[in-house]
Amino acid sequence: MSTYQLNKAVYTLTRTQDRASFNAQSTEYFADFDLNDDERQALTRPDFCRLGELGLLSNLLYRYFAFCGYRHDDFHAMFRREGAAALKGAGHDG
Amino acid sequence: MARVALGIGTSHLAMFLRDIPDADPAQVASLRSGFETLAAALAAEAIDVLVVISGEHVNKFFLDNLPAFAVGTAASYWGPVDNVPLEKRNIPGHARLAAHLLQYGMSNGIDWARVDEWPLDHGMVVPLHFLDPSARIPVVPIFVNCAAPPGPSLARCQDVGEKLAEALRQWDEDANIACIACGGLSHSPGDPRMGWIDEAFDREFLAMLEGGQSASIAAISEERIWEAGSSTSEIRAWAMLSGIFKNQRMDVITYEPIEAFGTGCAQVVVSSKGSH
Repeated sequence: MSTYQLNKAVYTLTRTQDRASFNAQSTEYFADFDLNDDERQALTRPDFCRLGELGLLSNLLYRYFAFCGYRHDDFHAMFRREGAAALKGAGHDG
Repeated sequence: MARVALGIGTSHLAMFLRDIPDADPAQVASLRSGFETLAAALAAEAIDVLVVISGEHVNKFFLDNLPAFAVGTAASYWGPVDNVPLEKRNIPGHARLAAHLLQYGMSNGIDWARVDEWPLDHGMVVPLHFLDPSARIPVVPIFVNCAAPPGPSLARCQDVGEKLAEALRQWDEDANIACIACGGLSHSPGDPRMGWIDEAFDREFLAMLEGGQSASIAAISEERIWEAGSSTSEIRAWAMLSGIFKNQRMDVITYEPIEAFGTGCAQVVVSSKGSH
């Protein structure tokens, strides 16, 4: 269990697999990596905000998002919604 | 001997090539116009080689083997390797200059990683698409780690830039060289701050470049860079440019904090002859 393994899972997946075959066996795919339950769950849901919190590099986060079939605009919008709350809590006004 | 004739700093965002409906057309036009200005500056200097400095986006370098700095030594490259709406193209390399930089660096304080095969991503290919659309000018790509912390400090980046400039000047070929730093400014893709732009940071950073305040750039802390955004780390490439043209004033061509891109977008130029 390490941030490295989480990043390696996504890095390897997005370079070597196509989405159709991955969707059919996503649980089996991630079994090859030393992940904890939190990481595995965030990957299989997928929960992109949680993946970011767990240390998935932002470039790989976006790549996984696209791999899962989401549109670019959705990515932007999703993090903006999450970010608005976070920034408010942190005292930012941007 | 070779001459470092021109320096350019520019955003490299792939979103510039996508149809983002919310993007302010006037801001996008400003960036396009900026690229035209930079391309004209390149043409005016009759540039023979482009030294292109950028982070990359976990396409070539991964956590299993991640250098702080690397130099591409291949005779040719291709890209973009990532999902960018550009036709893949071949880009000529300049292996002789790259070999010189590698050798000089190893003897003078830059422990380059050497890269003989390097599919380039949008970090370099997007600016090259606008600045040298026919891929006429050979390139030497230079990597600085911006994607996976910790990256080299801005002071170290500036130091490497200064040594790189000396290496270029000592190259014994008659050539005009342009250095292009690609990336940033403030942005946070893939983190909860995505969409937020630290405009104050961006403007302060550009004012330092404009004022030739290299020491101020070297003094920017890692905490302040992170506070300005999770990918604002890409200013490491710009810090290298500030070392290549140490204490020289740069002209800010464009600054557009484009909300729809979630990025502070900028372009600067500096000439060895002074203000451009």
